[in-house]
Amino acid sequence: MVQVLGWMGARCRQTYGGQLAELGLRAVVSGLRRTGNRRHHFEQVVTQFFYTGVEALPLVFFLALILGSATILQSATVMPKFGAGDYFGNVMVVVIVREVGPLFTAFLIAGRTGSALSTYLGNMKVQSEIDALRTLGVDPIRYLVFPAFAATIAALFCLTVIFNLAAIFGGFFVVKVLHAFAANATGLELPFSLYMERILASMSLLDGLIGFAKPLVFGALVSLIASHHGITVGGDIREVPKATTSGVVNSFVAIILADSLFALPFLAKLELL
Amino acid sequence: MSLVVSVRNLRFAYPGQDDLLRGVTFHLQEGRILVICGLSGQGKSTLLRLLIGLEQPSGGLIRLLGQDTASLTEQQFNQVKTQVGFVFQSPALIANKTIWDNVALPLIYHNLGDPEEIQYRVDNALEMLLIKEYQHQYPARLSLGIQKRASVARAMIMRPKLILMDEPTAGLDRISRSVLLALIENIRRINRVAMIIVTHDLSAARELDGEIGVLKDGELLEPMGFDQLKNCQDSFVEFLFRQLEIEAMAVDKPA
Repeated sequence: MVQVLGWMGARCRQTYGGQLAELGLRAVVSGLRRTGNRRHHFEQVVTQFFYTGVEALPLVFFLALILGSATILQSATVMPKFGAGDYFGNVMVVVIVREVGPLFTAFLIAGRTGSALSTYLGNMKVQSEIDALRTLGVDPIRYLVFPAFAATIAALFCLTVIFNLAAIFGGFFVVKVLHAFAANATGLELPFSLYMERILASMSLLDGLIGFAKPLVFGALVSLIASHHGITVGGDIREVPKATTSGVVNSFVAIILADSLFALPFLAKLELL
Repeated sequence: MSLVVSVRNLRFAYPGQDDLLRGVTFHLQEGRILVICGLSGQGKSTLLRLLIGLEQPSGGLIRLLGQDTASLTEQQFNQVKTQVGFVFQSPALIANKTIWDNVALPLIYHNLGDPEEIQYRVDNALEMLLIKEYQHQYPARLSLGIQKRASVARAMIMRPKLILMDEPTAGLDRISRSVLLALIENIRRINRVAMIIVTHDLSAARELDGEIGVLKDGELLEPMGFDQLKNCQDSFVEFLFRQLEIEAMAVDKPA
């Protein structure tokens, strides 16, 4: 029995998912270890958070404004024509909070931070910098992967919240500015109180929970996939761009797969499962 | 004097290849230098990588500072590594850190001292290797010679009992090479640190005044002094000395 379990464990470790899970586990275990300079480790996480979160903030905010205003514009002008004006709030919650907010932000971070992380770690591997860390008794997983892992999760969570708020509030503001130029467009005269009332009325506890959980899962996936592709580069510099590309593509696929799993509770709610 | 390194019957093969090392045995005492010479592809660098745990041997025993490395957990081995310095053939400095940060990294990571002490120790090491003026610069902006010296500073910052160096003089011009060798000898003399230096440069081995072991066909010939080695009746050793003479003639000859 033990042998069978051992064999299964070894087989799992050889799979892509198994390797990611092992890397994640090692990152968490090494990150939570109480030895060494913990203040320095915290500073590493903060620095990584700055690169991943703070530097991406203007781009996320800008995209959220455009996407939020486009969604409001489309749903507030088109839906009343089909007699579905009352469902405006539901559309905002489903589109922005539940789907587009977490997905767009995760794609952005996978493209921006994920690619940078794979390239950075891949180059370090080729230049023997990771070996150099090992010879100094520095655990590369703790020193390089854990800060990226923790900071990407935290940054993606914060960015998703900011994206949602910017899309809902900023988008409304943009629409109101547009309204000044196209005052006769149906739906654009919607007052802010009614707008918020409809959104809040459409939001369920499940929406909130999944809206919070998605960026955490996406952040873990992006950082682990990028790190995995970076640290598994061999000694050849030509492997680095390949690792970066695979890292980004696999992150996109993993995000979409994970997102589809998050849809299961809603399908169950609709009794489709 | 206590043994710092003890290697017995060490064997190693890269996956799918023949044995590269076929029973290497040697011992190194505190404060001594062992220079390992040999041609490219004989396994000199691999031997150093095995000692520091970057590769796993297929057989044999490695005792580092009295501890059998095969029986250590990763964390225990990391603790042993705080007493062993390693200098790579390429400087392998962290590219996005300044020279000061690179040298201070192991002290900060392992929490070895308060900020003032770390500052003092790093400044000392940089001064000893004559690179204090480059402390705020990034490695990519500096010459190979300066980067190698920074790499040596990083290896000695934890006051190790053993420093392993892989081709420390490779790629350096004659002046940088002589400066680096003099600094290495200085470090050994002042800190009484044992060193294993891998090189294909026999003249560097002579300047360092340590015992020389020649790695040939996966085995290490009994380490001996330079003059003893010169009288050795081995065809491979004779070949190495002929190379040294040719190099010396090339240097003496005016351009």
